[in-house]
Amino acid sequence: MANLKSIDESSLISNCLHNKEWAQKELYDKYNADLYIICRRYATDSNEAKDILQEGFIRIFTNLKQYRGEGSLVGWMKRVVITTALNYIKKHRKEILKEIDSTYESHTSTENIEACINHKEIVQAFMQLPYQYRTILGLFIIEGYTHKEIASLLKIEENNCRSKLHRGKLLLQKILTNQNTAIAVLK
Amino acid sequence: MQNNNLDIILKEAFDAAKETASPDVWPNIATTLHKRKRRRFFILIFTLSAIVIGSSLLYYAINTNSKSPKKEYLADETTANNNSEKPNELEKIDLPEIDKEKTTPLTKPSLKPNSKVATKVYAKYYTVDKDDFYKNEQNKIDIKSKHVIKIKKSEAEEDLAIDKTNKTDKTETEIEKVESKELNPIIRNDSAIEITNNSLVKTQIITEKKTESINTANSKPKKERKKGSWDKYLSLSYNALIIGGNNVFTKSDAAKNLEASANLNPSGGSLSINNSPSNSPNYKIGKEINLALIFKQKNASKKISPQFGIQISYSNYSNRVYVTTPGAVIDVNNSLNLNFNNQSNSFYSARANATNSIINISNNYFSLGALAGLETNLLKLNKNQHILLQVQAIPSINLSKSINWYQKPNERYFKDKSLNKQFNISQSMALLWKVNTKKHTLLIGPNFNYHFLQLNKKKNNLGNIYSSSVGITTQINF
Repeated sequence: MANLKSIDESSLISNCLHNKEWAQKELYDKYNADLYIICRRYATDSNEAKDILQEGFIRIFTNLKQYRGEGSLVGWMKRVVITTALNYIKKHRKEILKEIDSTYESHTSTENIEACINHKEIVQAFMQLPYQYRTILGLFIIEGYTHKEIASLLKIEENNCRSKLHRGKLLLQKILTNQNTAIAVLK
Repeated sequence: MQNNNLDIILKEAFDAAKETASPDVWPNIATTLHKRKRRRFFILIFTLSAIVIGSSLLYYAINTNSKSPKKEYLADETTANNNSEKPNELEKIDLPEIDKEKTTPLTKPSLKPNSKVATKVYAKYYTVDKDDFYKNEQNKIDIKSKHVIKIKKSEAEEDLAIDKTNKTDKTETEIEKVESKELNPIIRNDSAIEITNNSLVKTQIITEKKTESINTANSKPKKERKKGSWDKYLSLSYNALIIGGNNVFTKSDAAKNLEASANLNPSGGSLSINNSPSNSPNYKIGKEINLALIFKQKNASKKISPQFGIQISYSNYSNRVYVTTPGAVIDVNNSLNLNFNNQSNSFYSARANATNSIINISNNYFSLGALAGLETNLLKLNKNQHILLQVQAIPSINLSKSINWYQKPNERYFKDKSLNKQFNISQSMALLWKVNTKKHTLLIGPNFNYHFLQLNKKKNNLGNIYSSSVGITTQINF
C-alpha cells in the first residue's frame, strides 16, 4: 500500500476523478476540518453542519472534473461548500430576518472585547447571530468576498448587503458586550 | 476602526477555531458516492440493454411492415402467357391479394440463361410514362418471345429491368422512373407488360420461385421458411468463471491490508481486509452452465436478426482461505468479497482461535432471466456454413447459496448455509460456426460473458461483484 500522505494533490485529484475511494477519503481527511468550520458558520447546529458538509463533499467529488487547476484546490472546495451551504439554507430553512432594533446600536469598544473574550467565545457569539447576518459577515470578513459577489450569491441588492453587514456587526458587538459583562460579573 | 478591529478579531477567531466533523460523516459520503456510481453503472447497463432490445423490436417491426405494402397484385403466369396482345391495348387486371405467407422478398429471381424458369410475379404499379417507357427500343417487348421482368432497386425507387431469358447473354435495361398521371405499366409476370389507365398507383414486383412446379416432380416440396417467424433454439454453454479476490492470508498480509481498510470499516476491533483487485491480484476459477431457449428470427437474407429468450444459469466456485496467524480476526465478508451470506460472530470467533487452519467457502448461484440480442452473419463459408456473431444482454434474478465451513485439515469446525437474492446482468458475446444440416441447424463456438451482480449492501456490507466467463456455446434448433 502506497503511503497516502506522500501522494501529492494532483495525483490525489486524478485518483478522485477515477472514483478511487481511498483518494476520496484522503481528500476528505485533509480538508474536512477547513470545510466543516465553514459549514458551522451557516448551520444552526452541528447536525445541520454535518449535512452541509456531506452534501458539499458529494458535490466536490461529483464536480471535481470542473476544477481546472486554476487557483488552489481548497479555495475551489470552499466555494463549492459555501454554495452548497447557501442552497441548503434556502431549501431547508426560511428564516425571516428579524429587523434589528436600534437598541442594538452599541458604543462598546472592540479593544475591551478583545481583551476579555477568547476566540471560542467570539465564535459562539457569531453563531448567535441570525443566519443572514452570519452569512454576510462570514462571506465578507472571513472569506473575503466583495459586496457585489455576496449580493450576487444571495440574490439581494448590494446596498442591502452593506446594510446587513453593518447591522450584523453591531449585533455581534452587542452580543459580545453582553458576554463580556456576564464574564465580568462572574469574575 | 472599531469595525476593522471586529473584522480582525472575527477572522482570527475562525482561523484559530479547529473543529472536525464527526466520524460518521465520511461513511455517509462514501455510501452516497457508491450509490451514485452504481446508479450510473445501472443506467449504462439498462441503456445498452434497452438499445439492444429496442433495436431488435424496431428491426422486427420494420421488417414486418415492409412486407405488407398497401396494394399488391398477383398475376398468374398462365394468364399472362395467354395475353399476346399489344401492350397499350391491354386491360387492367384485378389482381388478387398476395398471399404473404407464400412470398419471399425480391432478391435474385434466379434467371439463368436457357434455363427453364418459373416465376410468379407479384405486380407493383409504377408511375412511369408510357411514351417514355416505350421510347426506348429495347423496352418494346415482343410479347411472343419469352421475357422475364424483374425489379431492380435504383437510388430513386425501384426501376424496371427486362431480362431476356431466351438469350444466353443476360441483358438488363433500366428505365428511368417518370411521373405520369395518365398511364402506368403493370408488370405482371414473366412474359408481359401491361399498361393501365389507373395512374399513380404504385406497386411492387415480388417474385416467387415456383420450385414446386419445376423441381418437385419426384421429391417433396421443400419446407418454406416464413418471413418474420421465429426459429426455436436450445442453447447450452459451459464456461470457466473468473473472479478476483484474495485466497491466502498471513499475518503479514493482514498487516499490509489493515492500513488500507481499517479506516473504512473498523467494526468492533475486527480487521477488515480490502479486496480491491489492486490489493489482491489473485483470481478464482469456477464453473458456469447456461441453458437457454432462444427464439431467433428466420431471415436468412438479412444481415442482422434479433433474438430473445429465457435463460437459466448455474455457477459455482469455492475459496480456500489459509489462516496462519493465531488470534487474527479476519472479516471474511470484506476479505473475500465473494461470500454473500451473513457471517455470524461465532464464525469469527472460531477462526480467531485457530492456527494453520483453512476456511472453505463454496458459492453456488442459480439465476433465471430474460435475454435479448442480435445476431449477424460475419462470413459465409459455403451454402450451409456461416460464421456468426451473437451479442446478448441477459438481466436475471440470482439466487445464491453459500456453504462455508471452517476447518483444520480434515476437521470441520463450522458450517453455515444461507440463501440470498441478487440482481444480475450479463453481457454475452459469442462467435458461432453455423452448420445447416438436413434436419437441424447447429451452432457452436466460443463465448465471452461479463457479469455484474448487485449485492445487498445493507445486508452484506459488500461491494458488487463483477466477473467474467469464457467457454463454449452450442445451439441447436428444433
